[in-house]
Parts: sequence; structure tokens; C-alpha cells
Amino acid sequence: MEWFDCHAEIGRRTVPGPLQAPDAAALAALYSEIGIQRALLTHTSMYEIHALTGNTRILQEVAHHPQFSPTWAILPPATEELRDADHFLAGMRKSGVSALWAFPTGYSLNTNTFGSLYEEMVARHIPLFVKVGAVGWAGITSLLAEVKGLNVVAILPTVWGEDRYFRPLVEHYPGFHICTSMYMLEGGVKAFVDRYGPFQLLFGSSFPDCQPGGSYFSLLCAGLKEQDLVAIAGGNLRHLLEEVRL
Amino acid sequence: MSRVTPLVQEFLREGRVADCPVIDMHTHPDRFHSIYFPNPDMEGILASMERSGERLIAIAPHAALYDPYYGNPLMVKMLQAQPERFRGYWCYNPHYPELLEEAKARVLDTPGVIGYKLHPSTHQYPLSGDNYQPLLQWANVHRLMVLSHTWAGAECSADACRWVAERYPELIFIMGHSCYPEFDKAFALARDFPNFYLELTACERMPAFVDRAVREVGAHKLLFGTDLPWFDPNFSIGCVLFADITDDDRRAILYGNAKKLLRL
Repeated sequence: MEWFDCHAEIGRRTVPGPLQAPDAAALAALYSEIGIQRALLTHTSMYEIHALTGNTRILQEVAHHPQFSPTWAILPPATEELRDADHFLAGMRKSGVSALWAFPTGYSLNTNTFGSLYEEMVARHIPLFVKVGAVGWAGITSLLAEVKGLNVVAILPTVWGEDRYFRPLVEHYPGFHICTSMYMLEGGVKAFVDRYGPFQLLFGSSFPDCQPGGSYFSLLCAGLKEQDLVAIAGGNLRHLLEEVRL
Repeated sequence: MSRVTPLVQEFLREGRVADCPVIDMHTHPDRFHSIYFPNPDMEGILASMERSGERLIAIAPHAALYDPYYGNPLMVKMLQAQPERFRGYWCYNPHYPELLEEAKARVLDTPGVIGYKLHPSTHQYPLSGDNYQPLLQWANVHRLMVLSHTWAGAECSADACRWVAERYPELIFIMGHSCYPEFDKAFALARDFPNFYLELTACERMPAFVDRAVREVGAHKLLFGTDLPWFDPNFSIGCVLFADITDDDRRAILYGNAKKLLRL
């Protein structure tokens, strides 16, 4: 079984936390100990410095670590900081980037802001990752309602049972996925899988904001059928990324 | 040092370790108004214990935090139904001081009751408030266990805990949530006062919290807890297993420290 972490971050934060991995090598060493084989990475610079800086640095970091896949951060096309959608997508293709992140500080996620990019993302099945805490559940709901067919991966804002918020979205939007990093609810994963199947859950650690062993051991012991565990541990993410057409 | 030690390997292989069962010192069986729990009832709690290798849990049902007239008898019923698997905290709501004498008596004469549960945040009443003092004095005299919700804020911050520690050093005070997020102050309390313990619920998942707590205070002052049915015990166990600590530390946190306190 392959463990493929959908959310881990490398880089030095302005205010360092006790667990940060300054570079890919540091994370590789830790994940090798724990038994996490692959990870989809962000770089701290994407949101602390600038999307362009982070998008460049993440490529440099993963270059010698094939177990890590890079993501890129988006910015509103209107300001042309990332040039136009065609150029951006060509860069993704060239760099092997198959997933995008929104860190919506100083911009909105609505279709006025990202309509043209969202059209491309839906057509090409490119998933968008976002922390619910950045836009609230109302923001996630609007995004899903406005951009039909967009694959969205949500990082939960708290560990205090959010099912009443996200289950209705899971029911309405097949492209909506939950990262398990903060899904600490007792019996939550099992109950979710029993009701909806495993395909909208993705194993994630949210390293370095969470202790990665928690989500890992919790899934391992959740009492899931083997094929469901395999799907959540890595299969769903692999499938999501394999669908991308750049 | 590899984190995947023999003990961790066994947990990964079997999901549990026979000579290191888990004792959960902080649970709240039963439903709760603002959160969906898949398995809040007795049967679900026992199933969760089975999944996570929890041998024993210390309970304070949600209802007892709110309505002590209704909730404490419910807790006793649960103890009677599961005397081998449950221990209980008598919940004291300071807004019902007429129940003080009962609270004093029941902790001493009810089988399975191990101490008091206080929730100053929910009760919106500070640990230093008048109505808590007779109970704390009683607990201090009898060296009883007190599990208090502790969290930054007026009622039960780390400073409020220190206020208690300086006046009632003999009671066994379990800082539920380790004064989240005032961890440095909580570490200092656990270092300064022999009977003050850190409890892990909700802070165990914080980056390197367990590692830091062991380094700053020593594993012997950490107690495992989960707020069950709020949090999956296996999530919390995973945070302890993959912390950068020794197997002796892991055994103490998951089992040994609570075993000693409960005199098992």
C-alpha cells in the first residue's frame, strides 16, 4: 500500500514552528522514518513571500526527490503576475505540476476573479486545494456552486467535527474532497466511508501544522476494508492527478 | 534514532500492544448539541475502545457538565454497567452549590468514581471563584483527583491553574488540554508542582507537542486523553507513537502514568 500525502509543506516560516522541514531533503528523511512514500508539496514562500517565488522554489526543491510532486499557487489573472492562463498552463505542463493551491489573502475565489482559469481547470481536471479556514464554509460552498465540475480538496479548519458542514457538500459535489489531516472525529472516517464510499477522502498530514503520525495511524486503524484504505491512503490522490490533462 | 521502534512496529502491525494497553483519562460519552458524533452511546464508545486498544477510560458524560442533577446519575449508571472499563469523574457545576455536600460524599463512597471534573469555561466561572473553593479544599485534604478543562482565557488559563496550585498543592490536578495554547506555562506548572499533570487532548496533534512536553517536563507527567467521542483515540495514539521520544516514554504516557494514579 502506498501512502501519498496530499498536503505537506516545506520551507522556512517567518515564525518557525517546532516541526518545519526547511527543504525537501528534511521532509524526505522524516517521511522515510514514518513510512509515507509520496507527498504533494507546497512551499512556505507561496503564501509568505509571493506565489511566483514559491512556485519557483518548489520546483527546485523537488527536482532531486521524485517521491515529491510540486503544486503551484494561483493569483488572479487580472493582475497578470502569473501572466495569462495559457502561459501558466504551459508552465505547469513543462514543470510537471498537476495541482493548484489558493491562498486567498488579498483576493477572492469567485468567478469574477478566476473565471477564465477555472474554465481551464475544469476542462483539464486540475484540482484546487484550499484551506477552509481561509474562506470559511460559505466561501467553499459558493466556489463549488459557481464552478460546476471543479475538483476541490479542502483542508478542514479545525479538528472539532465539521461533518455538519462538509457532508452536504460531499453529497452535492462529486469533485469535492476532504483531506484527512484534521479529520480527528472518532469514527468519522468509517462513518463517512460507510455512507459515501472512500473516493472523496484523501490522506493528508498538513505537515508541519500537525503531527503527521496522527492522521496516518488513525486511518490505518479505522476499521476500513483494505481496498477503501488503499484508496484513501494514496489511490484517490493518484487517480485525481492522473486525470489531469495539461 | 528511528521513530519506528519495536513498540511502534508492534502498534503498526497489530494496532495495539498487549503489555501497553491505553488508559484514556479524559472522555465525555453521550451526545453533544453542536457536533455530530457517529458513536456517542455506550455501545459506540466500547467499540471505539476495542478498535484502539483502550482498556479503561475515565468518563464525564456531556450531560453532567451541563445539568448535574441529570448527568451525574447518568455517569454512575454507566460505571455500574461497565465497572471494568470505566472510571468516573463527578462533575461539579459551581452554579449549583447546593450539590456540594453530595459531591463531597459521592466521590468517596461511589465505586468507580475517581475524582472531580470541572469545566470553568462551560460554566463561565473562574477556578478562583468562591463556589469552587470548598470543593478544591476538600479535594486538597483528601488528595483527590481533579480533571479541569484548562484553556487560555479568564476562567481556567495557566495563570488560574497556578493560582490553584499555590493554594491546593496536595490535590492531583489534571490540566485537561494542557492549558491550550499556553503550553510553556503549562510545562512550568507541571515542573513546579508534583501533583499537576499535563493531559493531551487536542494538543497532541500540535507540531511536536508531545516531543516538547517530554523534553520540558518528563514523560511521567503526561496523561493520555481524547475527549472521546470527540476524537479518534488512534489519531492521538499515532501522535504519541510518532513523537521523537523513547518507548519507555510512550509506555508511560499511554498507560503507565494513569495506571499509577489509578492504583491499578
